[in-house]
Amino acid sequence: MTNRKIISILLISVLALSSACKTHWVVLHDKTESKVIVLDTVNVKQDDAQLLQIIKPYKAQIDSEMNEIIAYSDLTLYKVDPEGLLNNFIADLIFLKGNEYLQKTNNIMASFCILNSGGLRNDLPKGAITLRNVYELMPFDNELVAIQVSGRNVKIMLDYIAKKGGVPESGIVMSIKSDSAQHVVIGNSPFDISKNYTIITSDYLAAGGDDMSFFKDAIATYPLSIKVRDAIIEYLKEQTKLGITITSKLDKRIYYEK
Amino acid sequence: MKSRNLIIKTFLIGFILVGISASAFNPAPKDRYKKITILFTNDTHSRIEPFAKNDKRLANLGGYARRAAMINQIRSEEKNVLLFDAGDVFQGTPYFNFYHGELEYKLMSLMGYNAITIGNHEFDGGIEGLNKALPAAKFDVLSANYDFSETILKDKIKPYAIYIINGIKVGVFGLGVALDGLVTANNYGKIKYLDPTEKAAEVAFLLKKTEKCDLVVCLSHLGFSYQDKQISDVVLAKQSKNIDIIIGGHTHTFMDNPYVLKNSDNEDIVVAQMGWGGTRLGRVDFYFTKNKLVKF
Repeated sequence: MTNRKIISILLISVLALSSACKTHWVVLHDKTESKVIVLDTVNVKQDDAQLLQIIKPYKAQIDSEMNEIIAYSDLTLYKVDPEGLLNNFIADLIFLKGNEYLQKTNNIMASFCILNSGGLRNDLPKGAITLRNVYELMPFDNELVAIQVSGRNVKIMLDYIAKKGGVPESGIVMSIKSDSAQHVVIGNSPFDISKNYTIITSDYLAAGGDDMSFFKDAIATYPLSIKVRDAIIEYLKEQTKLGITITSKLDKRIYYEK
Repeated sequence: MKSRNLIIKTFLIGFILVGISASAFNPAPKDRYKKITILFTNDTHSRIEPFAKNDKRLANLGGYARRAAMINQIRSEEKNVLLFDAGDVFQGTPYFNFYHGELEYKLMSLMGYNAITIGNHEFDGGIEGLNKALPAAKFDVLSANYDFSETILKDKIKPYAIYIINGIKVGVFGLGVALDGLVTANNYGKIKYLDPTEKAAEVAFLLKKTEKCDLVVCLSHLGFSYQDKQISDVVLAKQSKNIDIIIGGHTHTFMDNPYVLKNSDNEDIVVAQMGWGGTRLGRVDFYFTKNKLVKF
């Protein structure tokens, strides 16, 4: 090897070394520090004044329209799967209102109502219930529909309910055993796979939302032209007008078999 | 012969000395170690105000102005901060019904968000709704596995972005959840959902190896983990390479601390999610050192 060769090898080496140093930073994973900061009034004493100022006019408009008290509740209604106070309350009232609209428009009655657990976005508080509470429970603009489906598809739906660990429903009594629906009673009769059933639900679910693919090939669809949220508001206002404080109870409509 | 040996020896000694002096006389520790702070949220769901005092689970928590105050406080202590969100900024309070996401984006721009990814609820007003709110977003909106090429969102949403902060090159990409069966078909129109596992592998490789990013961040709206085998942050993390942290969303998962899992190369990967409603802010501080000479 000549001196020149040695020198050039070393020069190249030094250049390579210096360029490596310049561009590359390596994460020291064992030094990584991570945490969860809870945004409460202990950790943050003073909210940001600039943002509060910007929010102010928006909040004023929302408060003026959303703080209206529309009902009173005996207890906090919250969601529990497979069966919860909120699940039962909402499914029962949607079944009732849905049938009311379905009868008016088509003079028929549905056999049951199903909704989806993920669609109930917040609890309803004990005491005064405001419009805002209902918007936070049901922020979506989905509308009510009635759909008629085959018993075969209802069977798929029942097992979907079991696999999901329950959904908010009204009109069905069933148990869940290893991901399948058992002892199913719809209305007052045992489930009959040879029958067609008419169901109250939302247009979102009827279109196959939340993986409810069994609704996609419905025999008939009856749009009811009222938002799910507006049906809830209507019901709550009616109750208040009748002097009724709202309540809810568990009745073992969906339960796990032991 | 003798003289050549001498030259080699001289060079070798010189070389070693240069090496020693380079490490021994490295000026200040800050040049040998660098730190960046990553802050993040997910599923804030239009919670402009804190939760009400009679809320059963999250009473008095969150609120945009409170989040901003915390972010400002951290920025006053740390110079090198990046701020991200993992999707579902939209929907959940009347603020969205009234203002359709514009206020959320405006406030997040003021907080200095660098990038967000898209959650399924970003489509609650359809593609049109998202498109209308986008001008208020002064940050990058990222998705590597939604193909927008046949929609009005074409070129407005990028697969990834690169930020250089404190001399550290940070690559960030977004991943979205499967739309079919979750979002009404009319609302997502001609968006094509691409396999998140394949896209993640492709983009993470591009960022880490081709672009030579020092850190790769995945903003994911896939969900933390599921009982079945569907793709989730945990599944993705374990089979991944080239990703240092997954900032997740969708499943509204509350955790006491971000998780540290092992990827397919047995390297650490952080997987985090901050519940929902903007009630929490995630913080991860990464430390870096100059490339070790061993590799050379």
